[in-house]
Amino acid sequence: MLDLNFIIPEIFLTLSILVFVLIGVFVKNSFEIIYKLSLFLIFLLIVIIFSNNNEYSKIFNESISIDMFSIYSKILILISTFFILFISKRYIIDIKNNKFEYPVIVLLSILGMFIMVSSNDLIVFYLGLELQSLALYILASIDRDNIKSSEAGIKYFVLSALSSGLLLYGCSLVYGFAGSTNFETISNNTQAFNVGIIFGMVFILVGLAFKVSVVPFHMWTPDVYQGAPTSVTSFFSVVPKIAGMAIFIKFMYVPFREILDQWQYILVFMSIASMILGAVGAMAQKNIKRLMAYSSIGHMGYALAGIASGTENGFKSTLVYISIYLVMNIGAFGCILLMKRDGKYIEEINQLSGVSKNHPLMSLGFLIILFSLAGIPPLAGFFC
Amino acid sequence: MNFPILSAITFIPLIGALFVFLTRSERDEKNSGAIYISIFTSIVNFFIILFVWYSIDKTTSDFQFIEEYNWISGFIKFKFGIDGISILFILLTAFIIPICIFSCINSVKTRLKEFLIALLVLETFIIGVFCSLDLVIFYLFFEAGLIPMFLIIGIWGGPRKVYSAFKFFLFTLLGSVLMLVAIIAIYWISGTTDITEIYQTGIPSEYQYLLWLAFFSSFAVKLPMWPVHTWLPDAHVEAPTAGSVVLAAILLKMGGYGFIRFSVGMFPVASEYFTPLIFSLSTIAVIYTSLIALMQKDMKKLIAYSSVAHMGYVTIGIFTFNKQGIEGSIVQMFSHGLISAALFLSVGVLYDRTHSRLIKTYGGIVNLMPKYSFLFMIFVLGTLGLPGTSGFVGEFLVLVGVFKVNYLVAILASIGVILAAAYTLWLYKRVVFGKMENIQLKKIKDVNLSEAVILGVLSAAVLFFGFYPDPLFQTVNVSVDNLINNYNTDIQQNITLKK
Amino acid sequence: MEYAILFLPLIGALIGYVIKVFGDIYSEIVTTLFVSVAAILSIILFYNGIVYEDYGNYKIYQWIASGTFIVNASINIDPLSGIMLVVVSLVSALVHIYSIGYMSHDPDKPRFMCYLSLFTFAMFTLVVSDNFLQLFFGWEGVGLCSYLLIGFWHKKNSANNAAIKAFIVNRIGDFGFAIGIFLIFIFFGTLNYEEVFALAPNFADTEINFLGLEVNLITVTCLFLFIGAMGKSAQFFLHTWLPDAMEGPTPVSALIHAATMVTAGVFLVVRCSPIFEYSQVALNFVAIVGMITALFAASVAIAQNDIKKIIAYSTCSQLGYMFFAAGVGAYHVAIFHLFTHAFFKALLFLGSGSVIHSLNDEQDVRNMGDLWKKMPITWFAMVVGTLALTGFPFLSGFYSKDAIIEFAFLKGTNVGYFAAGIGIMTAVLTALYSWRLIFKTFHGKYNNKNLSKSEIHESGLTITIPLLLLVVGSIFSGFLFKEFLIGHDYNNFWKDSILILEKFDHSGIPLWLIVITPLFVTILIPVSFYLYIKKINVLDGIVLKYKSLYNFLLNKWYFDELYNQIIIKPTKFIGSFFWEKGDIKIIDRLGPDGISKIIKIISNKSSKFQSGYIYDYAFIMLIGLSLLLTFFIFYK
Repeated sequence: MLDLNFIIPEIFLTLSILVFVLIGVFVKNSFEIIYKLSLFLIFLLIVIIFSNNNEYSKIFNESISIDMFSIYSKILILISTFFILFISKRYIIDIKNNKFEYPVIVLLSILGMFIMVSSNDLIVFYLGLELQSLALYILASIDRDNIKSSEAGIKYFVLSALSSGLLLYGCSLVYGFAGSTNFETISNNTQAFNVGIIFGMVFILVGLAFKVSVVPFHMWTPDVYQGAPTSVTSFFSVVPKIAGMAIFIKFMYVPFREILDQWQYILVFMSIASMILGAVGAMAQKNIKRLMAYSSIGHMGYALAGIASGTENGFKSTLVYISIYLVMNIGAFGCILLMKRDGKYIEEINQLSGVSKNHPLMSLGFLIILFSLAGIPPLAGFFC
Repeated sequence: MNFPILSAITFIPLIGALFVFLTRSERDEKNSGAIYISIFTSIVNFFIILFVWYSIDKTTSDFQFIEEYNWISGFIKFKFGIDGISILFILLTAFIIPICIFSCINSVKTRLKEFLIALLVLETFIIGVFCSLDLVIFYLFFEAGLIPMFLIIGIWGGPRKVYSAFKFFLFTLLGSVLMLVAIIAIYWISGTTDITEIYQTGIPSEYQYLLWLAFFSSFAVKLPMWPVHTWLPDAHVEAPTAGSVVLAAILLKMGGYGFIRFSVGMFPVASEYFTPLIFSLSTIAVIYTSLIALMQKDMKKLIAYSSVAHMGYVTIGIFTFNKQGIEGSIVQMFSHGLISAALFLSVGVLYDRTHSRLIKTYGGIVNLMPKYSFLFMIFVLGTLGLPGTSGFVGEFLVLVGVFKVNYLVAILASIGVILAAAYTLWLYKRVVFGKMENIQLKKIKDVNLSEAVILGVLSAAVLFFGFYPDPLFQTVNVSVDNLINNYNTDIQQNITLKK
Repeated sequence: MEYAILFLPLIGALIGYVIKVFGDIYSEIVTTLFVSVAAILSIILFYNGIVYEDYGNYKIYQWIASGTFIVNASINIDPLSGIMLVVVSLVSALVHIYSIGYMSHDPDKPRFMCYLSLFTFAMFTLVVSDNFLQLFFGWEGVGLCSYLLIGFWHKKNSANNAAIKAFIVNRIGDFGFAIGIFLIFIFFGTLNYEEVFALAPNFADTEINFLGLEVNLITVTCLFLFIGAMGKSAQFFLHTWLPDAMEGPTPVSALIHAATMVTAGVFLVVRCSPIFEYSQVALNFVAIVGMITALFAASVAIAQNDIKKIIAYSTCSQLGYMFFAAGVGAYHVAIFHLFTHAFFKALLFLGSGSVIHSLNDEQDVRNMGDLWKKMPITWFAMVVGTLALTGFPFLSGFYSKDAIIEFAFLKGTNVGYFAAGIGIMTAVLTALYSWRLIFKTFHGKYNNKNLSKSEIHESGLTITIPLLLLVVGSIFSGFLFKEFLIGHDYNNFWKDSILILEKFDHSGIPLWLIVITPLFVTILIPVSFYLYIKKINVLDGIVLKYKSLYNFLLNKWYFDELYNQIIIKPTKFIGSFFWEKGDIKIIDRLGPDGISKIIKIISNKSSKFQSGYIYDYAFIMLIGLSLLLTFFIFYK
């Protein structure tokens, strides 16, 4: 029972979700209250995680590991979710999407991510991943009356299912050749020339690459970003990326540590391809959300470069990069969510001209964020 | 010196900008609070810098007023320090910025407050460039300067402002990305980014060539050298007057300063190796751009091309590695800072009245604008390097310096002097002299008091340093000696090593 | 006193410019007064120099000090600068006085007077310099003032063009001069005259590799310096600016383009005699260029119709005399001619100015005639000037010009004999065009249709007094100073300021040489009277018969057209070519515009992948996967 102490946040989260669902079912027009409760819940969770961070250990047969790394990732996830919920409420109401399911599903995906980032076992990892993905499918198509949103949901669902399949196949390969699903054991049992493990590793990498949308597994990103409601897009562009990168790091750092030589090539290739495609693809975009999609592809490329170095410093810098990335992206989406003309939200870039006249401060902020995304010193983006 | 005076002079404008930001005003309204604050900060800063100039020890080549803080521990130190060379550029910056502020008060009609903020922030960044003694800090300031300049062109610019702003931005950014890579490489090679330490330990000569090229790409764009100069005319044409002034007077000098401080200072062997490249590019620049300037129809473009030509002398001078050449380059940069600023302001005076930069709009304004014509004449003469103006001193010394090294380059570069006379005098004739044919000009008014004061101060400076350039030479004397000595010992060492 | 002489004109110019708010007359008085005082002081200085040998060097301040490149601003008084000071200040003072009358109708009088004073200052700095850089300062300074004064009537497009032309052609000369200075600094290590001249003998045989050629250092240095002199003194190839410069007001022509600035080139060669003496090649080059110019300019002057252009070409030709005098090594004679020439040429210009002024700015000699009764003083002055110019016995020109021919002959080399011959020929031509000018202007029939003859009257006192003073100078300057400057004991006067290695032997002058020039000149007076007044049709016949030759001369040997074709047009063409083809078409198109275009194309292509169909996406994903797997299969 002692082990349960370590997963108090997860337990608390799960119970709260259940309670929220109940409230949602029995109270009419409960969007407002659940939304506020969710924000409060996230805040509470942050407090809980902070107050609980003194002990690290591996629990449940070493299938879950609670350590500084997972705590840091969780806090990042929570903070960014908090801000995204905070900035997108107005938008959700405006597009008449104010159903109580919305925050609940967001919380569910967070739960999935929590499990994922603290997993120390292939099975647990897969469990968390799927829980997260399921929630995201629904989120993408939450604007049911909008054909684009539904299309985005379907696309995401199908492609994600494909990638999950590949990933699962990879997991089984790894299990078969390494004889264990535990990360440490896998690490101990791998040898550099084991083709089976390498194949398994490639399959897992592909699945992960899909989640963080790096080339060539990025194809869904622009469409889904554009199709999903902006509030969802902002969530997509940040939170799953944090979780994905975190687990990416974990995979590379723990189970596949011994075959660094092999995966390094793949990561270097993917990272460079993403940087280039992100930059080039963004040029031709006319829709600001598609542009942000390409921008996030590019940034994931940079983040991956840190991992590709295969050193502890590289992993650290990826984490730092991700943290800065989330700040910038939330800022950018905050601005996009504010850009309204005649009561309608603007998404086309050529309609944006002239925004600075009505929202000078916001356009200045947007500009600074974009400069930072472009990596101009002394703004934060440069240091990544 | 315990008081962090360099940080003070660097960040005073930023603080001023903050206060300007806090002033409340309606859009497009004349915001006197903002104006007074910005004038006050920039002028106070100028006087502090004058004091620094006065109090700097001119008998030693060491860096002075050093400040050092740990920033990212073990990696980047925040290190400031100046020597005789950098103080001149800082002085120039602090001198030009208040002039820009004065000039933009009347000519910038929209969003004056934001414009002032951009100028002050720019001042901070530029002074930071000249103060920093750490490569990373240098790079930060060097690149940061792009943002306010980009905004100045992009927001307050002319009809093709977006194209020009992006051209400017991309050119400079592409150039400096390589410099960033080189800085990281230097960190790996020598374990530090502290310039003074790198000076002492030196960089192994086999690495120098690539690093030099990387730095070169950045400075060459900034300066600009042929053939990466094409952003400059466009940027100048579209930028508002004050923007052009800052661009021509100070931002270009960052390239020249970079060449002196980094290329020659850190990579002497590579600098020697690449001298023919520099000489040929600069010689081409001098003649090529002078010829282009001859055919321009737009006043600002003409001056922009002439800037490229004048910067050609600067690079030639730096890579002569002798006293006259390098000192000539520094004086040339200083004087070009004054003269090009004045020329752009002069064009601005006309532009404010008629909203045309085309030469053919004008002609015969001398009778209606005698004072203006007189001042404009002085600057034109400065551009063509007439003895008695500061332009002559720099140009002549550079040519003396390069003549020691290479006759052909010197002779070809001297041809540029003839061409300079041709394009400037022709410009002057077409704008100021002749019959007044444009009816709109009949009502044109002579310079008002503030314009007269601005241009008067600049012309006084141009003439003063033409007749008495000694203060400049005294300031840089020891530092340049030191630079040349280091260069020569490094080259000698390299030769003995090879043997 | 030295300081006073140097700075009085500058102060005058500054005060004059400021004081104009109180009225034009004040600035006129101030500038004239200051320059006149400077003139009186320089005469005293000159006198002190001769009598008490009161020479010296006065440092003002250190101008530029960069390493070993140390240049002072200073005042160097020696016999050469002394005599130049007298010439410059005297003519300048007279021209100042003259201008008060001549420019009386001009609204910009103060500006004009200030420019004149400023010019005087620049010329002084040039003359009294003790180093090459200050000389260069003055050199460009006078060029600037010349530019400003030629373009003084800035509403006239031709005046502006002439001003620019003058400045740029001079710049070409200065370019050579500057290279000469560089060479001196690099090999001699200093720019100070005294030090350079002391070192010159050591370098007499130094060979250097200059642009791939093995050349003698002294020769190449002298040639480059001489290019500067050619520009300033309007010698052949770089002469085209001088006739055009006549667009400026006449006093300017008198001061700058006759008496002082254009002689700066001669001054430079004489000043550098200690270097030139060590290079026979350079000296011969100087002599040959001088000869060609003398002959060429005189030939062109015959066919010109503009009164000022005739005199301008005459100046050009006389400068040629001075140069070949210097080229044969007779530096003192060159300066002597410079000295006398200043008087009579200023006189001619001011006289023609008086005519032009009275005829309401009419400059074409074909529209004049029979003015001598109306303007007796001017007529008298012009005749004296012409007599002096042509070398009529016992006037100033006689002494100096004949001395040049004699010394050229005495030189005893081929170049010397040739120079003497050219000198005589040119003298004949000089007489022809000078008398043509006089007869066409003052005699014959009155031809002007725009102005009735009765309206013409003699000019006022401010114009005639300077004329009369110059008449005195033109008559007596040769006779009085002959012994002194070029006599047997010339070294008593010149001291170290010029160096003549080969002394001239005066015994061998044949009598015919002394007689021949004055004889020709005297005979030509009635001949020209006959040609230009009595039998005009004779001349017309000649013109008709040799139409092409006449046109050739009238169009100044087609130099302007030639330069326009081979220099100006190509330059403009290349400029446009570089701009439109080089910058816009090549650099921009391949550079930023091109790259951004390519990126856009790639970008559009890459978005085409984004078809929107799920199976496409899945396909790409699987392709990616299989590529990665294949990579590993082959990698192992």
